Amino acid sequence: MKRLLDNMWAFMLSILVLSMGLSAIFYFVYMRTRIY
Amino acid sequence: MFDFLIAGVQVPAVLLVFTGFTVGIVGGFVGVGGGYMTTPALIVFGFPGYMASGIDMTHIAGKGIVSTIRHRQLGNIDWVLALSMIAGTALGVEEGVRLLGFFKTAGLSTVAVLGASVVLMSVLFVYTIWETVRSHRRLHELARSGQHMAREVTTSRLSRVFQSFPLAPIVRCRVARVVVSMWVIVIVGVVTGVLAGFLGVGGGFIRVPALVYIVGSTTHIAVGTDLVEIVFSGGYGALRHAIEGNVDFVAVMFMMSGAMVGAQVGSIATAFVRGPAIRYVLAFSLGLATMGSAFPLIGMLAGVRSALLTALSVIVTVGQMVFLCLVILSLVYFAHRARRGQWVPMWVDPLLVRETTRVTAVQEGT
Repeated sequence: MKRLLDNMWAFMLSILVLSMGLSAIFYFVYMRTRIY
Repeated sequence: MFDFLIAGVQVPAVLLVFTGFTVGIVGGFVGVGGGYMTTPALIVFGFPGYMASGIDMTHIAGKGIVSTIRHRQLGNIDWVLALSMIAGTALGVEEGVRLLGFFKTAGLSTVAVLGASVVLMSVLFVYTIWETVRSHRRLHELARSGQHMAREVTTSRLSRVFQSFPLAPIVRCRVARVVVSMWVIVIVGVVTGVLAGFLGVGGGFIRVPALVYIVGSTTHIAVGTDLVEIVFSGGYGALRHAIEGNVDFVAVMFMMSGAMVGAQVGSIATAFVRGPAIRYVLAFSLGLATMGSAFPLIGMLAGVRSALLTALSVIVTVGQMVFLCLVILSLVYFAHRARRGQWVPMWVDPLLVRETTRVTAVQEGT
């Protein structure tokens, strides 16, 4: 964990992947349930 | 689900509060309105495009005031710089809108706007990230050699060229500690205004790098000063949208309830970091915004209406709000740990301000 945190680009990339994943889940779930 | 009667849609109110909060943090920290993130998000939530722009612009105006007050308390606003720039920006935005009208009559408006924004943002992204990585290395060297580290370190020499223009009137921006020809400030305002008017955005992501690299102010001052501009441009935009009937004020209230907290968190977070940390977040924001605009441009140039490209564009745009918010909050968390003498990653240490910067209210009349 400390090794991951010590590398700035690895840290940023892991946060990026996490946020994009959350965003993708939100997008597909929300678009299916959205009321028009 | 909340029934927004003016916009005629049903959207969970918590989503609006969350969007306001995350974009508020990013906006207060980087000094941008965040329209390029909020408008696509609101469209995904179900608001019609024109309503999305109106709601976004109105909430930016309100949020801008909150962030500006906080940055004023932190001493991050140079009023000479801000007011000189507003004059140029107002003129520039008008010319930008006319330029867009010219492209519209030629039938090229969408491709021109998307193409221009992708090119401009990618150039700004490459320059900002290149310069910030160099500044970060410089901070490391200073830390290793045990020298005093200021709150700002920049390796760009571009501003020295612009500061050496001897055209009168020369103004002294006391807070920004810059002596520069007023023409440079006004022309920077005009150029960023033209681009903002043409691209249909507030222009914060253009003005902040311009203030740092061309005028030569520190990043903190650039952020605070740009937020003053956003209050004026956002206020005017909100008025125009309200007259046109593009604003659902109930939706604005929900967004504002999140943004009022987020904007303060973002503004106060700038007190914990050095200039390059803010520029990193700005550069990441520019890079992801470029990607968000590049997907629809690819679809348009290839002549295909791909659902995948649309989905990717939206996912990147919504995802960047969460990403930037997490980066800012983790910087604040690391700063908190560093102040308590606990372990922090090696790369983050030079980016943090260790001394306590107290946020005190500015007394009236000072």
